[in-house]
This record gives sequence, C-alpha cells and structure tokens, in this order.
Amino acid sequence: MTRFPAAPIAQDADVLALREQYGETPSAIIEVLKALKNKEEGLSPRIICQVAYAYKVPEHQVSGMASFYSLLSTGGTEDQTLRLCDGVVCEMAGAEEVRQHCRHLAQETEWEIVPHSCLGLCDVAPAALHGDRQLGKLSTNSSSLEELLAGTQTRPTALPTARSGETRFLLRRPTSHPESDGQPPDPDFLDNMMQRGPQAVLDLLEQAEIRGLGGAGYPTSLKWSQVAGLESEQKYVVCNADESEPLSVKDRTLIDSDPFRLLEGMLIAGWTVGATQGIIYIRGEYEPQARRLESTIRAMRSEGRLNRKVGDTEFSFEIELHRGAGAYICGEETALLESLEGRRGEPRPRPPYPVSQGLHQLPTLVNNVETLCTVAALCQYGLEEYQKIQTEALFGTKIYAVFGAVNNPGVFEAPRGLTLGELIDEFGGGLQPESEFSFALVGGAAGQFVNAEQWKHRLDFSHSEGTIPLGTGGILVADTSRSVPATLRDLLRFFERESCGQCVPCRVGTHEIRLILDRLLSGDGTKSDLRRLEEYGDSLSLSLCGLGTSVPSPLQSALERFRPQFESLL
Amino acid sequence: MTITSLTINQIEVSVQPGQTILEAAEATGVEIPTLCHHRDLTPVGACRLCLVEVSGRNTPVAACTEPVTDNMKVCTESESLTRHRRLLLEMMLSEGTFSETLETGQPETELARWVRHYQATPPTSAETPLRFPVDSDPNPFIRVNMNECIRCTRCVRACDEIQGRFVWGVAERGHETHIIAGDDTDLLDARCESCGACVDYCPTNALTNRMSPPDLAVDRSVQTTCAYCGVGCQLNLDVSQEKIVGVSSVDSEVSVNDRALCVKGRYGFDFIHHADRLTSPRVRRELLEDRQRPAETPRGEWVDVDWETALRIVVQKMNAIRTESGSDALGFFSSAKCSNEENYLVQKLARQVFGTHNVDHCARLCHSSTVAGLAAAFGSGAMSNSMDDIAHSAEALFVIGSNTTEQHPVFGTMLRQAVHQRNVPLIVADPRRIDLTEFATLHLRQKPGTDVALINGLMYLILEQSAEENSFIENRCENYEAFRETVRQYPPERVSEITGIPEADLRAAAGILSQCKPAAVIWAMGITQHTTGVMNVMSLANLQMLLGNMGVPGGGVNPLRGQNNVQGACDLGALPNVFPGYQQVADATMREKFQKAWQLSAASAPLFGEIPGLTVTEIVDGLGTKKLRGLYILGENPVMSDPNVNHVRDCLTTAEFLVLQEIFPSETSHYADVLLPGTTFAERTGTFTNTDRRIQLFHQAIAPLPGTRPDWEIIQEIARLALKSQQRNPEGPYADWRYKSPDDIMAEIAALTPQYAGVNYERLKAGERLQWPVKNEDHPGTPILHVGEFTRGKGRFHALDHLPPQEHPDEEYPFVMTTGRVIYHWHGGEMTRRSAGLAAVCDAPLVEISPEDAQRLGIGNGDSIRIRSRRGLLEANAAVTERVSPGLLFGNFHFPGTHNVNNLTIDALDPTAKIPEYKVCAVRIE
Repeated sequence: MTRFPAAPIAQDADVLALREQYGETPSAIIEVLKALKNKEEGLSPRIICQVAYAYKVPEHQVSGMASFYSLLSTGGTEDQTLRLCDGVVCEMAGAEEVRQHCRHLAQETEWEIVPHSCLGLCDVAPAALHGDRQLGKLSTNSSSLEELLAGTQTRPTALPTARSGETRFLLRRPTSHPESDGQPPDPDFLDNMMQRGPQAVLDLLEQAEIRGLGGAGYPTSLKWSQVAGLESEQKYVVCNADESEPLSVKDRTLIDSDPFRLLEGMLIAGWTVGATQGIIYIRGEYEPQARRLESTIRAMRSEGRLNRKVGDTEFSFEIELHRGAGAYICGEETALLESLEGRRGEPRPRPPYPVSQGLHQLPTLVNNVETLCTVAALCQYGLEEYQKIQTEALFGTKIYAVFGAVNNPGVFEAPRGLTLGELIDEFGGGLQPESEFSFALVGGAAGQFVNAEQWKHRLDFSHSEGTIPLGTGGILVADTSRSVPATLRDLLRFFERESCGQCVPCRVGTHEIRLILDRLLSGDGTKSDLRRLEEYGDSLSLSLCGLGTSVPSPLQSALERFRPQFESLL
Repeated sequence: MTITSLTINQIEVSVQPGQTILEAAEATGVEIPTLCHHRDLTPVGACRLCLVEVSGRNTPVAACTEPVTDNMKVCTESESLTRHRRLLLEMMLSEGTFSETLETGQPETELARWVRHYQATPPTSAETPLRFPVDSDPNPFIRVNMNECIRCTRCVRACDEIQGRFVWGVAERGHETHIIAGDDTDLLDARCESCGACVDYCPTNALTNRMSPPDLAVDRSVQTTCAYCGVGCQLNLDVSQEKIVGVSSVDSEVSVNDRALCVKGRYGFDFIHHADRLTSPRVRRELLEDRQRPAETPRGEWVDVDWETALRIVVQKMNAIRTESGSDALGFFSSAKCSNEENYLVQKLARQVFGTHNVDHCARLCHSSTVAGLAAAFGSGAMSNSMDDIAHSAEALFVIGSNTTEQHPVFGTMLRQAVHQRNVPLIVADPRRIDLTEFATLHLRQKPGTDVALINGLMYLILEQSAEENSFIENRCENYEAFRETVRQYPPERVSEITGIPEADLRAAAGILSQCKPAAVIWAMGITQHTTGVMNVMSLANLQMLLGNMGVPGGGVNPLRGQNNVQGACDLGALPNVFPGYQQVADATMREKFQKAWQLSAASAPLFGEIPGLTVTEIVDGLGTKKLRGLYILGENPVMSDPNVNHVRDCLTTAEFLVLQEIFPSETSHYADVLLPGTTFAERTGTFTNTDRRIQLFHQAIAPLPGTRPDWEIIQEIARLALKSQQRNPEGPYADWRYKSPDDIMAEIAALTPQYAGVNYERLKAGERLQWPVKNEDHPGTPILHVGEFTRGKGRFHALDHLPPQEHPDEEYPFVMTTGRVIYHWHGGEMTRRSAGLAAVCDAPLVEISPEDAQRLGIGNGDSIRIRSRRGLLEANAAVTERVSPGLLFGNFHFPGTHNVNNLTIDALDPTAKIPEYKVCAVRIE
C-alpha cells in the first residue's frame, strides 16, 4: 500500500528535445503533444507525466489538454488517420456517403476514420484532413484509402478570379505570398501611416466605422483605444486565426491570398496600442496556412519590415505563430488566451476583458484576421477609397461565402449591406436548376435560419427589423430536399462536440438538444420534446461564453420560422 | 476611498468597488444560490446558478463574477430566475445519479439544498447505466463516486489553490467532461496527499470521507486546536453519541489555516477511541507486594489497580527517593504534546514539590539548539515572524533543513501558494529532493552536516555583491568585524568543495537573497539536529542580520516547532535551566521570585537548588549510572524518539522507578513501573502555543474515557498527595494546588510569566489572536519579534567555522543515514499507527535509497533490507527514489522495535544545547 511517489524527473529524450525545439514556456505544450502523439509511444501516461514535469505544470493540465483538443484526443498517428469533415456544408455535399466509403476502405487496415468538426474547407466540400494535407471534393469510388488520397485534389490555394460584381479591397493586391515571389509588397504606406501617430490610426478606424469581423461586430476603434490607453510594460496583439465555424473560410482565404496584409495589420495594431509582441493563433487544421504565415513572418523580418524607424524612435515588433490543436472554442477570445498559455481552451468569465487582463493578465488586443486585414487595407488605400464603397449607410467590403444549392458557390469580397437575395442571386449565381429555395443559414453556425420572406433583408451587425445578422458572412442555401431540423441537428452535433464543458447550460444543453433532435428525426419525438427544446434554448442564453449563448440563435430562428417542419416529425 | 452604491432587491448597498454582486449581496444579507462558487476559490462562473437580473442587461448575469457598478439595480429573485435555476439544477441532475447526494441526511449537501429549494426533479431517464464506477478510488480516506459529480471543479481549484498539490483535473470536453486525478489514475498515484480539501469543498457527495460517511448523524461539532504539529490548525471535532466520528474544517475564517487541514489533522483522529487506550491505572505486581525488583531484571506483570492505589504508590516511591537520595535523584519528562497548563504543573511539581530542576522534554531533541542559538544572537529563541505574514509578505523564501510540506503540511501549502500565486523565489537547501524542491527556484543539495559552510559561503557572496544592509548592521548589531573576517574565509570554491553544491548555484542563491528583501528563513530539524546545531542556528541569525531581514514583515528567523505544544512546553519552563518565561534558574532574583510564589511551610531551606538541572539525554544516562533513581514521564516516548535507543533501553531497564502518564501502552511502557491513563486532546481543555507563538485553546469535546483522567488533574493530585505526606503546606501566593479548571492554571501562569501576562481564557474564547509576548491584558500580542530592537538589545554576530559531523562514512559503514518523518505518521507513531487510514496508507518502515545504490546492491523497491550502524540494527523496506542522492539513506522513527531508525542514530551531542546528531550517522546495508 505504501506509496510516496516522488516528483518525477523530466528526462525523456524526445520530450526534452521537443522542449528545446518549441520553447520552454507552457505555450509550447500543445505543439509538443502533437509531435509526441505521432511517435510510437503516443500520449501514454508516462509521456504526459514527462511533459508535465518538463514544463513544470500539473500533470492534470497536460492530461486535460491531451483529451481536450481533438487533434490530440482522436485518431492514431496522423499518417494513418483520415479526418472527415462533418460540417453542415460537407453534410449537404454528401459527407455521409464519403464516411461510409472510407470506413469500408479502412476495414482491416490500420487506418482510423475520424469525424471532425468543420475543417474550414467548405469551398471544396466534402473535405478531409490527412496529416497536414487539406483535401477536398472527396470521391466515393476509390478502391483503397491510399488511392483515394492520391486521387483527391488538394484544396486550391490560388484566389479565383473576381466574380461579377465583386469589389476587392482587402483582396486587391495581386496574390502575393513568399512562396510565389518572395518579396514583401511595398511598405511605404506603413511608414506614412505611422508617421502620423497612433491617434491618427484610431481616428481613421473610427471614421471608417470599422467593426470586429469575427462575428461580434464590436467597434474596432474602441477596442484599440482601450488597449492604447492602458499603461503597461508589456502588451500583446493577438490575431485570432482560429477560424473554425462552419460556413467560415474567409480568414483562410485571406491568409492564402495575401498573408502580408495580415502582418501589416498586426504591425499597425502593435504600433497603435503600444505593443511589441504579436501572436497569431491559427487553428491546428490550417497547417499549410500556418507555414505560409511563418515564411511570411520570416520574409518580413529578414527585409527589416518588422523594425521601423518612426520619427526618431525605433519601433520593432515581433510576431509569433501559435497553432491550435482542434477546438472551435478557442476562437472565443478568452479561451484562445487560455490555450495560448498552455491550458485547456476554457473561456474565462468576463469581466475582466482581455483589453485590460488578457494574455498573462496583461493588456491584450485580440482581433480577427479579417479585421486586421481591413485595417491594413484601409491604411494603404485611405479612407476616401474605403468610403467610396458604400451601400445604404454602410462603408466598405466584407468577405462573404455562399454555399449549398447555388450555381456558383464560393468566397468573394463585396460591399457591406447587401441583401440576402442579392448575395444569392447576383453573387452566388442563383439557385441550382430545378431547385426551390427552402431556407438559408446565414452568418455561420451561430447564425439564423431565414426563410424566403427575408429575401430582401440586408445582412448587417444590427439586430433591427428587416436585417439579418451578418455573423461571419457565410451563407448556406438549402433547397426543399434539405430539412431545417436535420440541418439544426448537424449544427447541434457541432456545438455539443465543441462545447468546452465548463458551464452547465452549454455542456448539458447542447447534448440534450442534440438528443431531442435525434429523437425527433427518428420519429420518436413528442410534444414535450418541442417544449423542452425551447426551454433549453432559453437556458443556453445564460451560458458563460459566446459558444453557448449563440446556440439559441439558430435554434430559436428555426423553431420560430420553420415550426411546421418540426411538428411534422411528431 | 470611493464607494460603489447599488441596490439589491431594492435595498440600498454601498460596497468597495471591484466587489462582485455576490459579495455585495452577502454583505447585505441577501442569499444568492451558488454551487461552483466558494469564497476561498477563484470564481469560475460555471454552474450559472447565481444568475441575477441587472436592469439594463438583456440576459441575467452571474453574480459570482460580475463586479458591481455604480447605480446598478440588481434583482436576485424572480419567477424567471426561479425557472432558470430549476432547469439548471435539473440539467445537473441529468448528468449522473445523485442518490447519495439527495437521499442522505444531515447536514444536507449544497446541491441537495438547492434541489429542494427550487423543487427541481431529477430526470426520469436516470435509469441509464452508471457512467463511472461507484467508489472508484482505493484511497483509504477519500471515497470517490463521480456519478454524483456536477463538474463544478471546486475539488480541482481546492487542490490547486489551497493545497497546491494539483491532483484533480478536468478531462475531455463537452458532455464527456469529467473530473480525473492526475493523468486519469488513482489519487495516491497522482501524488494526492489525502488532505481532504477536495472533500471539504465538494458540494455534492461525489467526494466523501470514508471515516465519516455522509449519513452519519453528527450531534455536535466542537472547535479545537489540532494536536499533531506546531502549525496549530483549528478544526472541528464532530461528535456522534459521545464518540469522535470525524474532523471538519472550521467554517469561519481562522487565521492559522482557514479551512485547510492535512491528512493527519483531518483523518488521524480515530486513535482517540482505539481499543489500546489505557483505561485503568496499572502497577507492576512487585510494587503491590512491596517487593524490590533486583536491578537489571525485567519488570513483573502488570496489575490493574484503582487510582488511589496507583497514586499512593507513586507518591510513596518518589517521596522515598527524595528523602533517601535527595531531590536530584528524580527526573521529570514533561510533554510537548500536553497543554501549557500541564507543562507548567509538571515543572512546578518538579521544582516546588520535589525540589529538582531535572525537568526537560523532547524540545531537547528538536529545537534546543534553536533556543540556544537564537538566545545568543537575539536574546529570544522563537519564530520571529508569523506564518501568514511570511506567506503574504516575504519577497524570498529560504527553507533550509525543513521538509515543510510533510512536517508542517498546512504551512507547507502556504509556502507553495506563495510561490505559485505570488511568484516568490524559493531556495530550498536540503540533502534530499523533498517535495518543496519541486516548487523551488533553486535546490541546494548540501552534504549532510555542512550548513555552517553553506551559509558562510552565501554570506561571502552577499558581501562580495555589497548587498549587506550596513545601516542595520551599524545601528542594531555588534561583533560584526570578527564575523566578517571569518566569512571571508569561505569563498565559493571552498564552500562548493565542502558542501558539494555547484558554485553557480551558490551564486544564484546569494543573488536571490541580495535582491529580494526581505527573505524569510525557515528551518527545522535539518538545521538543529547536529553536533553543530547551535552554530547552524547562529549562522542563520548572522545571515538575517547581514541582510537586515529582522524585525520586518515577511522576514525573520523562523524555526518551525514540531510538536503541537513544544513552544509552550519551553515557554512554561519544562526545561532544566529556566523557570516559566525563560526566567533563568541561575539568576538569584528569579529563584527568589519563584521561591516566594511557591513558598511552602516548613521550608526554611530553599525549595530548589541554584544550579540548572539535567537534560533529557543526561537524565536517561543518569538512570543508567544510577545517579538518578526515579523518572516521571508525562506523555513522552523516549524509547522511540531518543537517539541510540539500545542505550536508552539499557538505562531504563536499570531505572529503579519509572512512572508513565500516557494514553497508550507505548514502547516506553515496557520500562515503566506505574502507568497512569491520561486523556487525549478531545477529552480535556487547555491551551497550546503554536510555532508562531500563538496561544490557542483546545476544547473538551467528549467526556474522558471511563477510567482515564485529564492529565492536569493527575499531576495536581500527585502534588497534593506528595505535599501532604511531606507534611508541607502551601503558603506562597501561587503555592497551592487547588485548580478547578485549566483557566485557573493560566491565571497563575500569567501572573508569573511576563510573556503570558496578558493571556486569559476570556480573551482566547473571544477569538483574539494572541502571540507572545502579551505584556498585559490590553496588549495585543506580538506577531513580529525584534521590531526596532532585539530582545537582548543589539543583535550579536558570531564568527563560526565549519566543523564536520561526528561520524563519517568509511569502508565499514559506507552510507550516511539521515532521519526524519513522513507525512502520514507522527513521531513514534503511537497515535498514527493506531489510526486505521494512516496505518493503511503507510504501513511499513521505509528507508529511502537512491536508484544508483539500489541497482548496485541489487535492491528492488519494497525489498526488506537490514541496515547496521555501530550501535544497532534497522530492518525496513527499501524505497528506491531519487529523493536521496547516492551514498545517502533516509529513515524514520515511526515503527517500533528493530524497525526504528533510532536503533542506528548516534548520541553525539551539541556541546551547548545537548541536542543529538540525528541527521548524520554512518551505516552499512547488510
């Protein structure tokens, strides 16, 4: 019985080498675990313990991470794991057949077929991830997984030519990244902007009415002013590139097209708020984009673009890249910060907000990729140019994506303030032949189900009558072959899987709602189930963070606008 | 200071800005339901039960995390909130099966209370198979049933933020989220210390105490002071049908420990009702038959007798020895486990009634070198600062020779948290890789017995960096020049050679001490139990004077006292050279003071002599040489705890008459002639003085077991009977022995002991924090000593040179054995080996051996090994561990007979303090 486990000594050669490679702060644990998972021993208790003691953090912290992030908790070694996207777009594009096909091929092989939440490859659905490779348009007629992988087109990286009506502002520069021409674009505008001082940047953002484009729409100038106004020896600029929401591929597109834009935006942000350290948190499933950003950072650094002389003072800015490991919740800014600090991505209660107590409890500006790119483009082309792009009372552009039953699905940049009908008909090429519009899911997984009556409603951040919440700018168009309850169930499966599990309404509510929807769809539902859906929806609005509180949006809009579809299942 | 005004349920409230709505509501007397929240823990806002409505906000906010703002209007109860809360509770209930939480009686769990309050109904689908095994962990103290868990993470936070052991964690996510220990292993494997904090904070019955199941009806809880170590934690003894059935945390804020307890404090209580308890006085048959036992022959059989007979025999024999051979043929061992009042009585019994200063106790074996060393340097030999002060204010911690997290566990957790939450640099100097080294900025792994060289070496480097505090040295200290000359003989290369510590580490440590002021120096037996014990202590005093770290919050010299009342036993004069309050026997005025106070009739001659008496080790030797004939022992166990116990056994066999007042038949009782059954701390009242000089009450929770008597009553009875048969009557103002209760004794103590002058039971019962000196009834006590001036005036530097330990490893005995304790046991183990859980979790004597040595000798973990020194043999189990370096072994003295490491230890003494060198002897493995 007697046991006195002494503190283990970190001495595993692999672990120590990885610590050397990825750094000694707990922030690196996530990368170390990813690397170790692919070694023979995997994430065994011994290895978990070694990592914990190598980083001087509790064993439960490392263990808790290993079972939290889906790239760590699921699948075997990545070379024998195929992660199939089960996001709503892929589901609509035949993910179920692909799944069955792959499972069949995997029989009696070492392969593991793992369902994975939206991979951010909606433009090439049905999509998959094999190691670092992003795969799209998976077929169902291969004779082996090897053949399937060999024959599958990798996701296209080049930005398609502009479609009719497209207004490129963020995406205006010819596709530029270090892999293609190796040269950072002309940086003069950065110097010009900085010479005018931080207040000029803040004024510009205010005049342009820039809003956060991660989905929440918080006024950007306000956030930047708050961070700029705080006295602190160290501040951080964190770019949220954890784009993991179904229907959202805009950040990936921006990074694929013009990674310099993002870094320019971070540099301006750092200069304006008084931070010298920038960190990009990119989702683990975006490895090609992560590499692209790394080489972009290298290029910027070696060209001296991160060190600038502004007036008489030197401004030097460091940018680091940090990879996630599969967790939608890390797109929530406080969860992202927790993850950056080497823990489970569990959102923090707010207040305090990251602007005052963010990364390592220091003032931190967290902005989405698209927001930072917008700021950079605005600084380059000027306010006048930006304000020229105007619809009704709204300036500037937005990166949209239209998927589903339209003729010309995909990503494009267009003015803000367009109506649903315009986006579907003018940009999405209208509904597919012989398709009848049934509903659209607008704004992402956390968006709303809308019906034909809302065809002429504008997409915007405001919640006023006659508008549809813009969210991430993604739109899923469904014809009558697709039901709202089924799509809602796909969304709930996503939320259930991606809930961090910390607060009661989200942890239990997402699970219970998904169970009810399953019951309804299998014909076992009852009237009280419908009532229960509403109650749980109410309860979810009490959640700790935005993941839980956004579930009622699709749920309630579905129940409100498509009630007959639910009742017909009883 | 600005104040935030708001209304809660239309009541106007003004609170400090930054408070949460929940805190404001609590201050107003408005209760908001909570589950994941606890005031001691970081709020997480996870259960959402504390949602309240705030005007202007669309959705309710969590009161536990939302700060108040001016003019905020808060509503804590509404129909919609009730509906929300009911559903939230039902959601929690849907995640498991809560039969134990909801169906077991009083006191109701927090979850059960809110479920009842909001009339939440468990889901009908609860017949689903259990998600987790019931009783899933083999921990002997903590029962785990995760089916009753609501994932509030209070256990996780309690372990992280209170205990600092980081055992519990959260696994997976979403609906699969659950609580795990370590990397999903069992608690002990995850390095759980079984402190029970997680159980204490659990709002359901997912975590419960095995020894006190939740369905046990507790009749009352009595707040008292823990009787294990010197930290002096406050705890509740839970009583059911006049039995102690559990220990719980005290719910009000307690300055020593808040709700924290250690494994012994929380779970080591069942010895109280152990079947071995002595419940009748016993005497040897030959005494009843009035036969003389021939010397060196074994004692006869025990006979149970009534109290009158036992006490008559004791008094007759002791009076006879006094008359025949003089007072100094008697010796008295008082007890650091007994109360201040009892210690006072024992030394009064020795000095007044029997006329000898031969009274001592086990402080001789633990901190006599501290008392002597600090008295020489500062004039007063106790911990200068307070535990909370160190935890909150120290800028650096230097722990040398103290395994704090195992020996003073609750203070150990405070140190861990100082490191964890305040980033205080911690330097640990210890030959072993003790638990604290894991939290340390630096671990200096010195060779045993090289502390003077180490400390001199650090001071050399501090001087080199000119980090000495010159104004402090000039104004408050003396003898600096001579000291500095000596320190200059200790350059790092020499010190590294002597101590085995790399030069770079010495420099780093000196750098921390130079830059982070004040540093608190903390030590225990690793410093004191050496032949150079006094020098070691004086070296640490030198260091703190050099750095100017004395008399300030967060600094000081902080010897951690081992036994619960070792401080008090010293304070009350259970020492051969001092009366209560360290009033010197050698000082004629003091002798006169006590002569007058304790005056007896027919005593024209002085009550006692002019020369200090003998120490513990000298008394034992004296019994062996027949210089002494009789020994009275109150609650000590020298056969377990003295060094070289074979020698002790020989001496006690020879002893003519030995009285032992005890709760159990101990190892020492084999050598006793009379056994007097005393009581445990649960059965009587008194005060203990803890390590930071705090005088605290312990309260009687149950009546003394039948046949036993409170120890102070026994001593009083012996004194009365002895005086009567000596035909002497009390005449001095404090000569009498008519105490009705312990507070009468405290009144006498206060009258005669300047440090305790202002102490009385009234103040203690009112909850006053009294740390001596308490100079009068209006004096608030002294949390920090030596502020502005040292007790002796100027602090004295001592020039000290390194001296090697007495015994060196050689070819015949190639290992160094060092000794100490383990967290689960207490000293000789008389109490803890009789506590079922503690005995189960640590059931065998262990000797730590390095993996290198174990491999070389072919010893596996758990193997039985025999270890021999020049004095004896130890049989133990090998614990192969990196905690010790090659060439070093570590053993404990918790198990009796040949399993006791004190069969090996050497009785070489420090020349001044007479403390034995427990920490170093040479041994071989057979």
